[in-house]
Amino acid sequence: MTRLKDQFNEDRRDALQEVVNIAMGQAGDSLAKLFGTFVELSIPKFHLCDVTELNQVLSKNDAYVEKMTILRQPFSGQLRGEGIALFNNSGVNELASLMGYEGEVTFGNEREMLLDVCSILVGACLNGVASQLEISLSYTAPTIITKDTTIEEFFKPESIQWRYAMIMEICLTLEQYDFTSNMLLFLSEDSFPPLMDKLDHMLDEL
Amino acid sequence: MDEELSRLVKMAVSQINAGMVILDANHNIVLWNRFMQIHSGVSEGEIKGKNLFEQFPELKGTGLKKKIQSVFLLKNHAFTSWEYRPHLFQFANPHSVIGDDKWMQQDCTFSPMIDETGAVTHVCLSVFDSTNTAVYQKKLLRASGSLMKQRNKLAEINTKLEEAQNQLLQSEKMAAVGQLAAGVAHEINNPVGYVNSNVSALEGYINELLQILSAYETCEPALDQNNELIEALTQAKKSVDLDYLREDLGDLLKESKEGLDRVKKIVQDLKDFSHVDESEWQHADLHKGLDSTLNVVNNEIKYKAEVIKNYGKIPEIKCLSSQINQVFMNLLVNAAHAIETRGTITISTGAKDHGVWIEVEDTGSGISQEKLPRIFEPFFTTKPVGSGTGLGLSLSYNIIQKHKGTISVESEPNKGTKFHIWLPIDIESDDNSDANVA
Ligand SMILES: Nc1ncnc2c1ncn2[C@@H]1O[C@H](COP(=O)(O)OP(=O)(O)OP(=O)(O)O)[C@@H](O)[C@H]1O
Ligand SMILES: [Mg+2]
Repeated sequence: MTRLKDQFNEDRRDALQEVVNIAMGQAGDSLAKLFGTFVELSIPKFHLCDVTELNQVLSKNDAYVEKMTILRQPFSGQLRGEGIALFNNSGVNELASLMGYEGEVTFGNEREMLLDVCSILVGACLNGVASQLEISLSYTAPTIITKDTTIEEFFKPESIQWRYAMIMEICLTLEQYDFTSNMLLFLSEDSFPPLMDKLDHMLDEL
Repeated sequence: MDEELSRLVKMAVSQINAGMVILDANHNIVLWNRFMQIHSGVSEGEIKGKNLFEQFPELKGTGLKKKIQSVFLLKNHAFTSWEYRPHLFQFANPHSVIGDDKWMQQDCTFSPMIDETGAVTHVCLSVFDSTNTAVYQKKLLRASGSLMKQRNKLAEINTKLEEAQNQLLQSEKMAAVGQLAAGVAHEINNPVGYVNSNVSALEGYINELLQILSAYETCEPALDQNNELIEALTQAKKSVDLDYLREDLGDLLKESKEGLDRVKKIVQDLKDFSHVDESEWQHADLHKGLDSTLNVVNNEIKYKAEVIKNYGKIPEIKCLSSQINQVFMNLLVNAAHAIETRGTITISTGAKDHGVWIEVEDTGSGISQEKLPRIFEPFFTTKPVGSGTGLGLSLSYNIIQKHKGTISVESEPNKGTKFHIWLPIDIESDDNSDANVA
């Protein structure tokens, strides 16, 4: 763990922050075009932590005390991990029309829409990072994990396979629609070496 | 790419056991592979260059355009899943033998096709047949659903059993109380019998003694007034206060006889109340039942409330009178408990619809709106632990139901509560059902 923290030194952290900021800028732009409304993306926060510290790290954010709908979208390739999207169940109707679902919001299309939003968010954030780092990623269909669970109940350390993970926390807000979603991107431990390599490569080119 | 490989890739796209459609930025179909041709019955030649949403108008307004747009804009992957959208294209179910679904269930993926400059030029839609998975999944769901139902049913039966057991316990308790009462009544009856006859005999003897005493007294003036004996006699009469004694003897005897009458009455009430010897359906006068129950619970009521009886004219009804008395007792005791310092309990009766109604109304604390629907539940009590079991009303409810009658309640907090009971004259007669309908 400390070895990993050492590896993720200030230079590399700055480089990654830079990459991610650019990616978020592009993502915000594309999302605004897609939704046809102003999209606010928070500046991503990084955590490098042990699974046992996970809840402690996440509990600093008030948004996670509420009961939420939790979705996951796995990705693989040179970087491997999962995007976890958290919705607080408000603004769903507005979002449906924004996403081009006409008529009544049914069980089926509400679910599908949340899944759409999940893969859009994960894709928007990751693709920008991937293209800058010149890596390719592939995605598996997202799934709904639970409705009405708090994040603390959800992340039981014993149910997570990784020991360490890098977490990137991003919050998306559509102010006009009272819609907020928090997203956590988990990078698995074995994605570290390739990620560090890519960052070094970028730093060399500067 | 070398030509051989290119030929193989083309072949693979054609032969792959999944649908593959390539769309350009205007949603026009560029490629429509064999799987799509076979299942849709439309050849690639017929559909190439045509707009997807015009060819399949049912896809409009279902969020698909946004999905495709997101792939173009974000280089994203978009998906549909049979669970939430059973199919994108309405293809007949190829598993027509095992499946109960008419249409093929599909999982679909929209992937970006990116050129050398990094721009998304086309979207590739792949369609996978998930009918098999869906069929098994649905079977599983149905199975677990029916398991769940059975589980709930069992749980329901369990609570019913528990309730029944509690009621059994409570009625056993009441039966035991009844038997005890009957035993006590019997034990008291014997001594009261001979005390009663002894008191009658005593009354006779005392009257005779007093007569003799009067006779002696008439002789007094004839005696020598200066005699020492007469002095002692006067002294003795004075010290016992003979006149008062004469007067009081009568009163004492009268009160004793009244007391004995009351004891006899209580014994009779205990017997009536317990009805140990008549556990069968019999015609009974409910006024008698009310009166004997009132006597039995008199101690609980007398310091709390004045009892007003508004008895109407009612026929005898066929019932298990000991059980009906239990109901009266529960209502009267509850009413007395609800009164804090002093109030009134009004008992009214009357005849209606081939039956008899009884109302017990108190000026007690009343019952709040939230609690009112729960008071007939077993174990619902607001009384402190140890003083109420919360079974009184639930038992009463069941007794009234057994008699095919009704029990209802009206209450206003701080004003009081009124319980209304209606019982049919004869539960076996068909008239009652008519009356209930009318
Ligand atoms: N006349 C009444 N006035 C106000 N509250 C009443 C009246 N009758 C019943 N209740 C409420 O209904 C509850 C249930 O009554 P019930 O007779 O079933 O049980 P209980 O009197 O609490 O206990 P027990 O089993 O000893 O009778 C009581 O605890 C009381 O809160
Ligand atoms: Mg009671």
